[in-house]
Amino acid sequence: MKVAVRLYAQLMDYLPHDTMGHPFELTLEEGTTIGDLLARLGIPQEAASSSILLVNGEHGRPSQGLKEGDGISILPPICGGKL
Amino acid sequence: MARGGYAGKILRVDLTARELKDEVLSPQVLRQFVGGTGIGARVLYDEVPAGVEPYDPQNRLIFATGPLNGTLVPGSGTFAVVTRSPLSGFASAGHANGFFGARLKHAGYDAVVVHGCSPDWVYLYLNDGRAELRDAAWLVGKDSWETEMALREQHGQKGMDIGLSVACIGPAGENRVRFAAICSDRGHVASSGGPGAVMGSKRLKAIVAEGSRGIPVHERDLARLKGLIKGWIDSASSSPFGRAVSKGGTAGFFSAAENMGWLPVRNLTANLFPDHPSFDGASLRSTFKTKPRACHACTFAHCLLMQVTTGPYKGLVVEEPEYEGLAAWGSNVGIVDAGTALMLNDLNDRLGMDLKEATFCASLAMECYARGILNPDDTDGLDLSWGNAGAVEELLRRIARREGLGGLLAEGVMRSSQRIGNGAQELAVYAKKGFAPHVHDPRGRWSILFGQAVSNMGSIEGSSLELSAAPDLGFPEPIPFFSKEMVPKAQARTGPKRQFEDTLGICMFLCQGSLQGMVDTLNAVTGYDLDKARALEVGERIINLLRLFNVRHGLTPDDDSLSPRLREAIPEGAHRGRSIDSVFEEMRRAYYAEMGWDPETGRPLPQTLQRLGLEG
Amino acid sequence: MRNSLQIDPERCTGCRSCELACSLKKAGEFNPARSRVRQVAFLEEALCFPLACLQCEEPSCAKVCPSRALSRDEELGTVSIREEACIGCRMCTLACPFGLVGFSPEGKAEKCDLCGGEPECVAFCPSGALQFQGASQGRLARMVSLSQQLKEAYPGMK
Repeated sequence: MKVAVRLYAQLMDYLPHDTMGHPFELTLEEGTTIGDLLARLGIPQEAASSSILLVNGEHGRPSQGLKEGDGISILPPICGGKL
Repeated sequence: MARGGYAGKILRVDLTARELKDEVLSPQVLRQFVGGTGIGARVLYDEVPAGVEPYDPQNRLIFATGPLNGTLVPGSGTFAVVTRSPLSGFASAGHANGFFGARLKHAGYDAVVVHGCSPDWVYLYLNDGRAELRDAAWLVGKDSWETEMALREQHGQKGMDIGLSVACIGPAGENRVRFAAICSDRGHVASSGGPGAVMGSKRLKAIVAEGSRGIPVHERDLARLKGLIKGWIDSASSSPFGRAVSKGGTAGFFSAAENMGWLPVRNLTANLFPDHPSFDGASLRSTFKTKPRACHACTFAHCLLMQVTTGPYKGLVVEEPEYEGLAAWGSNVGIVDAGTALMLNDLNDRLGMDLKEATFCASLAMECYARGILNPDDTDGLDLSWGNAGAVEELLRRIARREGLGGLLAEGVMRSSQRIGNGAQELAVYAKKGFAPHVHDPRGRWSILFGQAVSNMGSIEGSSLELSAAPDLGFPEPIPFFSKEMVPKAQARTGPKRQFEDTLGICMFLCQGSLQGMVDTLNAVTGYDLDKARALEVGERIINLLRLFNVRHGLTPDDDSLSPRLREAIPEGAHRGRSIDSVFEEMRRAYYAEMGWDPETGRPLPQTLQRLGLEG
Repeated sequence: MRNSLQIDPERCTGCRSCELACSLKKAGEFNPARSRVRQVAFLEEALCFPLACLQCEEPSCAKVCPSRALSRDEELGTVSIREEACIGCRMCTLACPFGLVGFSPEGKAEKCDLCGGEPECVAFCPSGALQFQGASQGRLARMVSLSQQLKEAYPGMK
C-alpha cells in the first residue's frame, strides 16, 4: 500500500530527501502500523513518543494500522495559545 | 508576606501634574494577583470607572513585572502592559519579552502606573529607585528602533546594551493609531489592544530603565533554589517544543500551519499557499544569514538577527519574524518572497503597530480593492493588488501617519470595515470586541478561534490543546480537532494556568515544565506558600476581574463573538466547508457554565466571585 | 596547564545568564551590577562579550593595593581578595586596565576568583560561550578552525 508522509520542524532531519513541507510517498507492507513507520523513518523512540501523530487530520496511535492512501503527519507538540 | 522577588514599590506617574510618587502595593494584593497581568488587572479595575474612555487622561497605562523577572529563571525579561483598549473599549493586556521587565526591577520598581496627559512630549527615566520626566520633543517622529538607539546614546550606551532598556512608541503611537504597540529591546513588542495609542495620547514617548538594585531571594538554601531553576531550564530546553523552536524558530511550524489548514491566506479568502516551504524556519535559517540574540536568561535563544541573502531585499538585516509575522506579511497579503515579508515585518515594528491588526487591516483593504469596494480614488492611487509589496509598505506608512486611506485603517479592522461599508463588514476579520485575531486562519483551529472570541484581554487567555497535552490540567492527551465539547472545556481549564504564568514575568515559551515546578520556584524566590490549586486560582481571579471590568464597560454575550468572515466555511484545503457557525452559541454557553458564569449573560456568578475573594 | 575562563563571542547569545548565576552565588541576589562577569552587547551587530577578570600574571590591582588585600594564588592561578583586609580605597578599580574590578555597596572590592575552580557562570552558560579549560585548548580550537577555513581554499587529494 502507498501512504503519504509529512514531517515538520526538527523531525525534518529524518526526511529521506528534500521534500520540505510536501508529502513524500512510501510503499509499505499491508499491516504496517504507525509505530512501524516511525521506526522505518529512523525516528528514535524518545522523539517518537513525544511527537504528535496525525492520520488524515485526526490523532493517531503508534499501534494503529495504516491503510492505502493514508496521509500521516508527524510533528512536535505546539504549545501555548498563540502559535 | 513575600520577602523575595519583588523590588518593593511601584511608581505612580501623573503626567498632567508632572507628579511622581512611590507607592507600596499591599501584601494581600500581591499574594492574590502576584504580578504582571494580575497587578495590571487589579489597578485597572480599581482606578478606571465607567465613563473613563480609553483616551481620557484618567485611563491608566500600567507596566507591570512579576516576582521572577530579572532572576535566572529562563525568559525572565518580560513585562505586561494593561490598559483600557482604544480598539475595543474593554481591557487589554499585552506582553513583550526581551529585557525591559528585568531592568524595570533593577531600576527599583515592580510596576509603573501612568495617568494624566503631559502638555509636552516627555520620557520617563528610572534609575536606582529614582524617577524623573525628561523632555522628549527631540524624539518625536523617530521610529521605535531610532528612539531606542537615540536614548541609549543619550544615556551613555551608544549602540550598546550594558544593562539599560527602553520601551517606547513609534510614529503610530504618537498619532494614536488605535492598534499602536509599545516596543522594547529592538523588536520585542507589547501590542495587543493598542497600548501604544494610550501611551501616545498621554504624550509619553518612552520609558528608560536601568539600575543596580538586586532582586532578593527568600530561599536561604541556594543549592535548592539553583536546583529548582536548573529543573525549570531543563524542562524548557529539553521539551520537544523547546527543541523545535530553538532549531527553527516559530517559523519552523510555517509549513505545518499551511498543511493543516490554519495559515491565513489573502484575508481568509483562500487556505492554500504553495510558496510555504520558503517561509518555513528550516529554509529561512539555512538560506539567510543568522546570529542568535537571546532574551533575558533564555536558554534556547530562538530570537535571532537575520540577513536577507536573496531577492529584492538582499542585504537587509532585521529581527527574524515569528511565525505570525511571516504569515502576516507573506500569505495574508499575498506576498510570496520571504525576504519581502521580513522587510514589512521590520517596518511594522519600527512604525510601532500591532501586527495582528495591521495585517488584517491591510488584507481587508486589499480584498475590498480586489472586489471593487475600494477603487484607486479611495486609495490615493495605491494599487492594492494582492502581493504588491510596495503598496503594502506605503499603506503601512500612511496608517502610521493617519494619511488618506491610512487614517481610516488606523481605526482598526472593525471600525474601518464599518466606515468603508458596501459589504466590507462581511469581509473583515475580527473578534467582536474589536480585536483582530492572532495571525492564523483560526477557522481551521477552533481553540484559537473560540479562545479569541471569549477572551477578556485582546489576545487569548488559555492554550490550544489540539496539538499538545496538558496532564497538569486533566488533559493527558491532545483534544480532538473541531470538538464543540472539548474546545470550551480546554479553554476554561487552560486559562487559569496561562494567566498564572503571565503573572510571573516569564516568557510563555519557557513555561514548559510542571505547574508544581513553577509553583515551587515562585515560593522559593518569594517566600509564598502557594500550592497548585491556589496558583490556578490566581489565574482564574485575574480572568474574572477582567471580566468584571468588561461588564462594567458594557460587555454582553454578543461581544464574545466573531465577525461574519470568521463564522464562514473554510473555502478550500484540508478543512474545506468547516464552520463553527452552527455550534458557536452552544459552545459559548458551555464555556460560561464551565467558568462559573451565568450561561445566558456571561457574568460571573456570585458564588464564583466569592470563592475567588472578589467583590461583585 | 591551569584552566582559565575562555570566552567564545561567536557562541554567546547575549542572554546574560552568567551575570545572574554569578550574582546569586557571590551576592545572594540576582543583580548584574554585582556580577563579577559582565556582558557588553553591541546591538546592530548582535555581538556580545562576557567579560571577567583576566587573572593577570602581574596584576596591577594587587600592586597598588595599600593593604595587601589582593594577591595572586599561584596554585589556582587566580587573583583573589581577602575581604577583611580590604579598606575600600578603590585603588584596584582605578588600576585595572580593563575595568574588571568592581566594588560592593559596602565599598569593598569585588572581582572574579573563578569560584575557586568551579565557575558558576560556566555552569549556567547555555551556549558554551563560556568555558573553563586550559588556555592551550582554546588556542588549539581556534587553530583548528583557521585550518578548516584554509582547507577550503586548497584542493588537496579530494
